[in-house]
Amino acid sequence: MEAIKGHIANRDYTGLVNFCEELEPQLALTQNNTISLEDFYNTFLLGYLLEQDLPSARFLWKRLGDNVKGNSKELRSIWDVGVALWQRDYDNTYKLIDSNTWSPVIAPLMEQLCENLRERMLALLSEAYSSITIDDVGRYLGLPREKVLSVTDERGWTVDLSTNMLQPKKIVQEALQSTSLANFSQLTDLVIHLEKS
Amino acid sequence: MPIQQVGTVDELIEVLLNHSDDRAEFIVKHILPILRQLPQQFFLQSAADNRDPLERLDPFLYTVPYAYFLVARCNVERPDVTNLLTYILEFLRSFDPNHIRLVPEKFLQIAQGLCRIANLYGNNIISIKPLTHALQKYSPSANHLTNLHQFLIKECLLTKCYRQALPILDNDITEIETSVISAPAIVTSQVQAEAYKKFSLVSLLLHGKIIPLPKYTAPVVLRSIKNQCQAYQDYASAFESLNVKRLRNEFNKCSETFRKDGNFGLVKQTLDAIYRRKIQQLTQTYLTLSLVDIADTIGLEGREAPKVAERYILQMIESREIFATISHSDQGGMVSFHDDPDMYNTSNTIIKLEEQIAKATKVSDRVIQTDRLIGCSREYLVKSKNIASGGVMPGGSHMDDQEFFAGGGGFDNFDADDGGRFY
Repeated sequence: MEAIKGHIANRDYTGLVNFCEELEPQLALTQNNTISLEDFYNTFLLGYLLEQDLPSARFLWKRLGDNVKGNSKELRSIWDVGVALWQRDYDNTYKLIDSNTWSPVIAPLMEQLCENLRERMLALLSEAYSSITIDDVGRYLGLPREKVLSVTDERGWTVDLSTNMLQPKKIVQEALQSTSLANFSQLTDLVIHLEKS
Repeated sequence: MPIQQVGTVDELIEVLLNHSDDRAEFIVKHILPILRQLPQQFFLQSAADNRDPLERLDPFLYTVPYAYFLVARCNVERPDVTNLLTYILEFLRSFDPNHIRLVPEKFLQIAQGLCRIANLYGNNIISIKPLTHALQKYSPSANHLTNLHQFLIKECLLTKCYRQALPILDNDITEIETSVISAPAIVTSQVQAEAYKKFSLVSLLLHGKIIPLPKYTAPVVLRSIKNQCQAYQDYASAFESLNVKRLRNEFNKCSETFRKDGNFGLVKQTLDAIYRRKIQQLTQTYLTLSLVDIADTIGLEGREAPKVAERYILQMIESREIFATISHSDQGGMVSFHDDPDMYNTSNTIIKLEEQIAKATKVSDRVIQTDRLIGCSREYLVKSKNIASGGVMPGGSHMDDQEFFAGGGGFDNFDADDGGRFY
């Protein structure tokens, strides 16, 4: 449990998932007194969701025995969030996250999930739309109107209140351009190889 | 040292402990004969002081005898699950790979035993990690296909731990353990047919058509696929026609088959994918199009159609299948399609390119290696000698065996140092 908490505190979700994958067979084999099955699978499942690895989450859910599924209401709720993500029903995802009360371990992870999703949506919207209604943005972000306006304002989107439209600002990504000694060494390796055969 | 007669487990252990020589030749010569002559029942006995004999043996130092004990226990009808499991796990953690290769069949039986025990234990998942670990230790390199692979993959499938199987399957398998029976199909197995069904659907999802199977597929497999997977081929051609109505008809007609094969979920995804396919086609013709028009052209119906179309487009933009922007400032919404903004002039492209080159280099190295091995092999030399002297070859092959001449020893710089000693 300490290790899991450590991963959560460090926001190292890849590490969390890997750790859980290691631990799962061990838990099946021997009783571990430091962590309950419920807590373990809750974080495990949510870890997959945070990693955006929905297929793995789905298979985890499928292979879980009824003894675990039946005992934990929270696990069920986490999976409901997963289902909403799977169906790309983002509106519902936010609602589900907000309407449940999560246990102390899960709560920060859920918050992170929400945040990640919002960031993803903001990036997607700014790429996909040249103009979009404020209400639609609200649905994609799971935020009320005022919040939408303040969030988008931070990002430099222009707002037209008369038509209720937002114009997203495109995110320009700096492309890395670099030539280093490594390139040369690779090139020589290649030439040597070609010469050899 | 003559082969000793051992009557009890205690005597056997005495003998083993007194001759702790870990060279392979020693084991083959002195230990194996003793073990081989003992009946299975022997290994089920406990020691005189009622202790478990395995407690006295170190699984690393006495890998081979340890394996004999374990196999005997695995074959018991009702094994003591918890106890046996502990020993098997201990063994798989610490066995000596050089020793166990002397008795591959025992190793196989232990793996089999583990799967069975895990099943009895009620949770197959416990076998995956030990098997993975044992496999990595056992196979001389990651490119070897061993007789252990099948168990691991099967267990992964059973427990739906697909992610855990990936690192193992990701290696190109070039070397094959002799103990594996490789079967270049003479009869089509059911597995192949089922695999083809899934393959055809996934291929539709990804490429929009069925990718032809590679040339080296055995003809008999192709034939039986034609017979067994008719529904899938019809469905695929309906998909390729990009006609939503036709696809739906085909879907209704065959849905029973799909459901029976357990492929219903995949098929449903293709129903979804046909819209994406059509949207992608539109990008090649139009620069801008209204959402209403798009919904109309791709065959969506109902009042919500433009909304649904918008959802599809958004998804496709996210997964970078198309590049477009949607604008809601006009009534109903307009979509303008763009070209791929990536000009492939950044260092990302270079990195990708380099990765591919490195891969190709590795493969070509391996091809050369294999080619030389074949060139040096007795079979090849005998065969080529016969051909050169115009004699009839033992397999009844013909002189115009182009493929045969093309392979092996055909490299210009095939220098005497490497192959010369064979000539």
